[in-house]
Amino acid sequence: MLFWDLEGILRAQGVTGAFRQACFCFTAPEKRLITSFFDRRAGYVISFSGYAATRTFVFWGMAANQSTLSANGYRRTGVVIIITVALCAIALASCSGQKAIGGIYLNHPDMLPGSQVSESFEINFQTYREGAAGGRTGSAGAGCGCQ
Amino acid sequence: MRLSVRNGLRLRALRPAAVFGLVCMLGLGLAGTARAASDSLSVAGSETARTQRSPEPVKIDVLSGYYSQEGDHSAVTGGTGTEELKDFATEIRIYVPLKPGKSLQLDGHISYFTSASSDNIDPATVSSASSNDLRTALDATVTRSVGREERKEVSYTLGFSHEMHFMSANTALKFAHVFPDDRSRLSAGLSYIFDVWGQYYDLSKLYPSDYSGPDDLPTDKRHSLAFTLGYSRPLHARVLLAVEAGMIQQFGLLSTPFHRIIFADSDDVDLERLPGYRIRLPLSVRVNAWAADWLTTRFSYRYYLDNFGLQAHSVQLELPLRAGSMVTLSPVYRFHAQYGHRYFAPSGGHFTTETWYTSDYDQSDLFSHFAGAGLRWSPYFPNRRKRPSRLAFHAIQARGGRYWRSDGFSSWLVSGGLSWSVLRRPDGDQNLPPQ
Repeated sequence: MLFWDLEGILRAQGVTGAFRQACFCFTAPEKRLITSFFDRRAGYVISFSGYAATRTFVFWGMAANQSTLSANGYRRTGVVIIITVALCAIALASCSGQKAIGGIYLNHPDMLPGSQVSESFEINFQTYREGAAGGRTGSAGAGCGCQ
Repeated sequence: MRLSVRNGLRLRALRPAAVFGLVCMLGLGLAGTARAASDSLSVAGSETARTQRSPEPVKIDVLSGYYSQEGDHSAVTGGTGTEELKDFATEIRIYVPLKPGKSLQLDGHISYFTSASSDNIDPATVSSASSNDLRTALDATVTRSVGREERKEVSYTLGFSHEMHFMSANTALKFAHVFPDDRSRLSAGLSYIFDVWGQYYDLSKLYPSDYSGPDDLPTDKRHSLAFTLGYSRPLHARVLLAVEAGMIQQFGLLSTPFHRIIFADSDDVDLERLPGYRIRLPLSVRVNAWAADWLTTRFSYRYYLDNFGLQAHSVQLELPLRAGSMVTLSPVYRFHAQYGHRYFAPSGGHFTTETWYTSDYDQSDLFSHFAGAGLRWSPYFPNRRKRPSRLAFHAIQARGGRYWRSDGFSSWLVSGGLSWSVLRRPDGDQNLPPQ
């Protein structure tokens, strides 16, 4: 999906035609392999990621809807660039080594990824007062909601 | 696509499917690139005994809160009228390690509330029976570690809740895998919630006296099926990223049967009516960073989309400030922008020719803000007694804030909580003091 919008960037710059590209990446110390193949004309993306040390492999693909691809123009170029840069930053950050001392920071209660226990009442009433429920720790969108 | 918001501001919305797919790709991609770390420190936030070989203590949290709201768009009276409500709630959470790698968590919740809008459900009788209500809920979760290295967790939850005109039962199954770096974690969960209206109450008291009755409602039951996928990993020695995507499907009676509709072309009053199927797609990203020894930044963003056309963006920033090792002050701010769904119209904005309609402002275009702060005190008392007590005070915390919306609704909340640990002696040595 990201790459389809990259095609939009190219088209906005006057580049036309099918957009097809393959990507291959292998990082030696971590024995990590990332490959991607995306074809704008056929409308699919296939990616494979493997990490030898943990015997973890992820393979995923995604088909595209051609009408969706061509609709809506390419007006979100700025947004796409921002997202692209953010993703690149995350990817580059993940390539850096992690010192063992990091554990004392990551294990601190303030660093826990979920919501704090003391937030439960806030989440509860916000779930009632906003139609957009779900995606946070707690209710998944059910319940009376009539208070 | 441009969406117009009621107060005149215009925001450009991202194409929902693009955003949702993008972050799913990110999560899956990161899942395949988890790397090992050289240290052996335990995983952050792990709820299980996987890395704790000594007897875990029993943990008890008690939290109480008071909530008050006021507004002038009650859905019970058709989008006009008071929304005044006061709620006093208490929550108790008990974590019990059953044996190494297996634990039980009990969550009990009880809340008593008075509601002026609920009291207007039947304006002819001023149904005092609905002017206040008591809600009780109990959830039990069993978690156990599996696998040779106990890097996998399976948890099962069973729970129910009950209030005067509503009863729910829920069950959930969750699976989590901790990667060898002990900090990256992938989880998937499936939950089912069954709701039923009015089984323990005379429904005729809850409906407007000027309406013939609830007989034409298709059902009084609601089913919710939720699937969630989450992934967290450190981006840096001091930065943690967590991504969670969900898909919630609901079918059955999705409207609130005592919400009224006032029409533009008729004096008749009808009940709120909504389609019987709804799919919700929430997606959240959280980044926690250790900015300094005295400061942590907790940032989260959430995107929401459903098939009723409701979209929302929520951003929250919390800054825990540590004053010494015992006191933490956490100011928090949250901003929520919501684009209401297509079936909403204010009071008198619907026509009798429509099939679906609601005047519930919770489903409307709105901006909301929440600003507050939390205070946590975690003292350390050296246990110098000859026979140390097994009950150890862990922390006391307080939290409060004010919430206000662009439609004039406002509320405030205060809560306070205490945490204890019940220490246990190591197996086989009854003379040792607890850890």
